[in-house]
Amino acid sequence: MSQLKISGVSKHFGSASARPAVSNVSIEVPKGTTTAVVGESGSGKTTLLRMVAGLEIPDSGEIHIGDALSSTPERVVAPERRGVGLVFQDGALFPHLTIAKNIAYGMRRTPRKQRADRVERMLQLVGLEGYGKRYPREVSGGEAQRIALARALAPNPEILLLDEPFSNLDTSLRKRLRDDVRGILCGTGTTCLFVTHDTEDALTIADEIAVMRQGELLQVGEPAALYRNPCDAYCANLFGPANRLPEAFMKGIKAPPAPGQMGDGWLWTRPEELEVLQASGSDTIEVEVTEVRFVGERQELKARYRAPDSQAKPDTDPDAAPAGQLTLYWRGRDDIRPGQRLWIKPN
Amino acid sequence: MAGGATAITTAGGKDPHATSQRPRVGLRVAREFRLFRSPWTLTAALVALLVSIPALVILANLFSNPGENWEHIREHTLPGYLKNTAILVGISGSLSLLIGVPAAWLVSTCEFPGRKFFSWALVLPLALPTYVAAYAYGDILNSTIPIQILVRDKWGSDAFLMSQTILRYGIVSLILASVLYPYVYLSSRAAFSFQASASIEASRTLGHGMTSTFWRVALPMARPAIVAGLSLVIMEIINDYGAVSFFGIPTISVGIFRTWLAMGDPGAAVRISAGVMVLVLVLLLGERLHRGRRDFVVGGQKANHRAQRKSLSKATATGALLFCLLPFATGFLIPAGRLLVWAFQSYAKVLTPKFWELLSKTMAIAGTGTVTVLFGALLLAYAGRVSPTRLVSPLARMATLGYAVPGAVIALGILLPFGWLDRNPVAAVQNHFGWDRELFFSGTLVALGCAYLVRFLAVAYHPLKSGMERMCGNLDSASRVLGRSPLATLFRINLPLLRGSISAAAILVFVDVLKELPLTLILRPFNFETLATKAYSLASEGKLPECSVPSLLIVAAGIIGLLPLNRLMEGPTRSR
Repeated sequence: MSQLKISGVSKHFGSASARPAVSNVSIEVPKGTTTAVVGESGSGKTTLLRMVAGLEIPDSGEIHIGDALSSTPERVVAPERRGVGLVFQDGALFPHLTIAKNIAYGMRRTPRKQRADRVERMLQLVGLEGYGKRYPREVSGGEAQRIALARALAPNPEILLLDEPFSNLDTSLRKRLRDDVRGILCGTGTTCLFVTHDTEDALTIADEIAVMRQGELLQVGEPAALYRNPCDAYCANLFGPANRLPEAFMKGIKAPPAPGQMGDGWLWTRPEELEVLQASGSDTIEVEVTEVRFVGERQELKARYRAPDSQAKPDTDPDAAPAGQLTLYWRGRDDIRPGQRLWIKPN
Repeated sequence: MAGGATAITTAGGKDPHATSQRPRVGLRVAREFRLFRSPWTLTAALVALLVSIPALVILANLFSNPGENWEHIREHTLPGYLKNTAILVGISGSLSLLIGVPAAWLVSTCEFPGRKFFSWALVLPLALPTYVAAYAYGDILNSTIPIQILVRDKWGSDAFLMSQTILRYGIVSLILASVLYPYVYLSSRAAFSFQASASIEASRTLGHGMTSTFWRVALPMARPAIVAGLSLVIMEIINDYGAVSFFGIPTISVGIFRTWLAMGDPGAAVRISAGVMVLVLVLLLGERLHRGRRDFVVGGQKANHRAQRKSLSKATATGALLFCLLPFATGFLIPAGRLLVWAFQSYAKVLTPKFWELLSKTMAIAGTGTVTVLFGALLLAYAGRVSPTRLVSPLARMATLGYAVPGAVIALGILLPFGWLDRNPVAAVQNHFGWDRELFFSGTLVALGCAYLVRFLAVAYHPLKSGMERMCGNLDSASRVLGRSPLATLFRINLPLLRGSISAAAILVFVDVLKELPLTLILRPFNFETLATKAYSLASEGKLPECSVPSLLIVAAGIIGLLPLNRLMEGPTRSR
């Protein structure tokens, strides 16, 4: 049973000629799981989230939360009656209320006594006991996000929505908070829709990832599936370097993605799925190194097919790397130099 | 824990035709109208409509039958009114520019002794309403008598009359300019010290000196702000009644008063008013077009530091100091000083129990006016924030036009519909119940309150609106998602966070109502006096020393009103 069901939702802002912000998107989030919507800014992911929260009205489509039909173009259940929790990028803590009052804000139907208990419990949950009397300006950015999470979870929402909750934090804090949030979501069994532009956030936290671009949903799946079998160049490059290789070359080692995608005899392969050899062998492809970058544990190589006309077919996809361009990892002892010849084969 | 059964459909997928699913124009319009039914949008529409009634009434009369005097007025008196207004606007407007812009440039980019003091002191003349400044200089014509005698003896009586006229126009223009230039000064100061500071530094690193930078970078960048300030000056001049009538220069505002009250021809007065309103709207439109999409003060590039000020040599620093001292002296020091001296001489005569009654009445009407105006402005500003349609913003623009319309025009626009109400429905009710025939609307405080609402809605609306804009929209969303209705969100989140803007708006409106003259003069109930009308009547009786006491109180209130104004005009603040 899915807790959140978005069916064919579209949203259009501004003049009639402008591109829709969200175009015919359908996503389901099963109870107790987290789905991350990944996309760059302008991909429509935040608009989608705001429609789920009831803050925007869809032009078409439906949104079900739990058993209730919550949004249609004709009728939108008001945000205050939808049972959603929302954590904003900037936390959006009410600056004139103490932390405790911020957390209690959404629990007005809870009796006073229980409310105080619940505030304490929520503060414990996010590891900020004793912060209740402070004001938002007296806490750090990471703490503010924890409090925002506690505030959103306090009324026990049907579904929790996270809107880039880590993007205002620096890297180390971000990592720590990400792990904590993952723990809290699992521990409380919360159903969560999580919007981010950071693929690492998505890979760490989500059970499912949905990739959005220019308002359209490109691919949905478990993180590993999305990483290994991206449906197109955009999805492929989103999660790191990817190489476009003939399907025949990868035969038997790697299954093609969902039927109907690609299907032009080519497959996306990650660098770590390829073995790099210094001598030719059976079923290898010869490449020429064009660029070498030392990144610590390995060397990152840019390489080209040796016989471009026979192997590399020009790719019409604007997101693909230049035809025949490959990224490879080299972990051997020998230093590789540009111009050198190497051979690759599936790992 | 991944639910394997996640169904996924990307109907349309990357299909380029998917974009054709946007709703058709007709549907979008229909939806816009459906959204319009939201209670907040309706509220905004209602406020905007009520507030626009006077303007609509005036404009509608543009096409009505003119009164019998109209031909005469059009041919004989109207050209004079227009000419006088144009002369004052021309001279005072140019003077305001010549004082305001260089003064703003000096205090924001140069370092000289007294700079910090003048930076705010140059705003002080704004505390003097034009009519108070006129009364403070009321006997200045007498001091020119020796010159006039000299002229008469030398060139004869024609030249004497001529010189008198020139002197009168010159003095009134000077008085108006010296209390109105702060509008230009404030807006250009904000532009120079914030908007342009990064560009000024860039220009200087590219090898341009201060002078060249002023002409090539700062002035063009600040032009929209300067024009906005100038248009406020022009509107104040058109609106002024007290100063010009005191010196006997019949401008268009005086013309409306005369046509209506002295000639008893409201039809013709409405026609003149309609013309004035069209002029003012054209002026506003011009200002808006000139500003284009550039923001006036807030927004655009925000510099987080001011450019380093240039320290001036001794001679130039003295020049700068004198340049700032002159307008400060003529616009504030001298008139306020004179009022103070007169007040010391005459306060025993003025401060009678009756005066205290007058004072408390003024406070009461200003307080009531403030609450009314704030309430209307708040409704409008909040509706703009929560209403799902974009229609609220043009509605708000229409509703806040009143600040540009001269008080005399608004007064007419209020009296006409209220007079109709009194003559028809109210009279009918009174007849029905056999009550005494009494005016219910016109000539009562209700009419005055409505007039203040129309005229000063913008004064409260803009600080509230900018306060709301500074407040992150996510706070509202957070409150809604946490289970509160828009109304509850307004009371629990927006209003507490808006305290600063609300008090600023309240002070501004309070002071404006307190010193308002033309509207109050026309619409006040019989025998009802405020500080402003008292000062007016004492001055017209020639009792200048006595008039100084109410005038001084108005100036004191005006200085308090400058505090929030100064802060609002400072430009972008760094709150979130």
